[in-house]
Amino acid sequence: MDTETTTTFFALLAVVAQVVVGAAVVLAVVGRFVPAVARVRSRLAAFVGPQAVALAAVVALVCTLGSLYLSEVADFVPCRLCWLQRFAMYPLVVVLGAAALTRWRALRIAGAVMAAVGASISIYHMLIERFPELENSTSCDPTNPCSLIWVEHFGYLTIPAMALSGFALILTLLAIAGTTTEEHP
Amino acid sequence: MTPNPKSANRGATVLWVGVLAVVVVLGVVAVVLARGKGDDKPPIEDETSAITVTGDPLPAQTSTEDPAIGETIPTVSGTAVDGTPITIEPDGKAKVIVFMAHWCPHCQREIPLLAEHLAETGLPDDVEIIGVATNTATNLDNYPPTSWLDRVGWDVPTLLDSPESEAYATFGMSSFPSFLVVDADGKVVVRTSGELPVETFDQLVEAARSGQVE
Repeated sequence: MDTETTTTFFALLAVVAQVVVGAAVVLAVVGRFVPAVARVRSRLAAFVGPQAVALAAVVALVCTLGSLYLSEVADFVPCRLCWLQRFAMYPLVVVLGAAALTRWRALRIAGAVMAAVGASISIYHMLIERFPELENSTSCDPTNPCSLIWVEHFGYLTIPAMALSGFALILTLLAIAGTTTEEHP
Repeated sequence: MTPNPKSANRGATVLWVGVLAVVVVLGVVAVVLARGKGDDKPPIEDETSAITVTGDPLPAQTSTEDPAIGETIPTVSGTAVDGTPITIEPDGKAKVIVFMAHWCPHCQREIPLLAEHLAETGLPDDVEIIGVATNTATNLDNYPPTSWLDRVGWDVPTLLDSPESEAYATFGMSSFPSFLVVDADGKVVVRTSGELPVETFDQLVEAARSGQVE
């Protein structure tokens, strides 16, 4: 598969992640006021919940492999903010994998904190892409500015936007797991 | 009520198979969507040119005092955006040379601004404005540079730098957009970089004309 096809695939995965996160937020909010929606939410949570941490670990693994593909195969050089997002995402594969196997709540919470930090960096990176002057610079360093947009799909999905989708899906899955899964303290 | 382990296992299987099915479908959709996309990109050879350099390159731009000030610029020849030969040389005419990269967001804002300004004021008679489209890469945003410059109305003679960005390196520039101001004797007056308001650009033109920075 060429880079165009692969990044389109990542973008589609990101869109699905956004749909899932959006649906979860709607169900969580509307479910507070509408009992019928609350019942749907409970049924879905009961269906997904037992596997939610394992699913989050798989999402982290896919994001990690995707990030390695972009740098090692597509030759997109990671910038400083890309590296910070990597530092948040890569360990999640191990942390959430261990959390899924041991059902240890501390690991799930640690994973959620890491995902939240990663999501914050992704949001900042997206802002730098759109408003490069936020970096207190008015010129591009040719060696690799964080404002450089390597890929963009569907008019908005750049690499940090895809990373944010991954972090948000992980957070959503961990929240679902927290409401439904029996864990060790 | 204790959950039925058999039913829980079946639920987990359905979930994982469902996730896998979605991923496979997305893979197929990606192949269909990406088919033919990018084929219309011109090759790098069409967006760059072979550069020849005569004379000593300028020292690299630094954050402290610029060692290139007062140095004579080398002669750099290549092909312009319109396909004609172009030479940047100490030919007795003052110059402002504008370096730009198609993917640089600051250039994407600065070049249209300057294009509009120059369209309003017209190119000065006694100072040559020359562009250098450099650091060109097919896999980066806003490629190809010739289409971008045409789209934003950049009506300035512009050299297509080589794939190795030799012109950019020869003039010792370190970022973009950047500006090399040369007086009528072919000597460097000032090098600067960053998004500039049009008033500051006009001051650079004046600096080229007078041979000194105000």
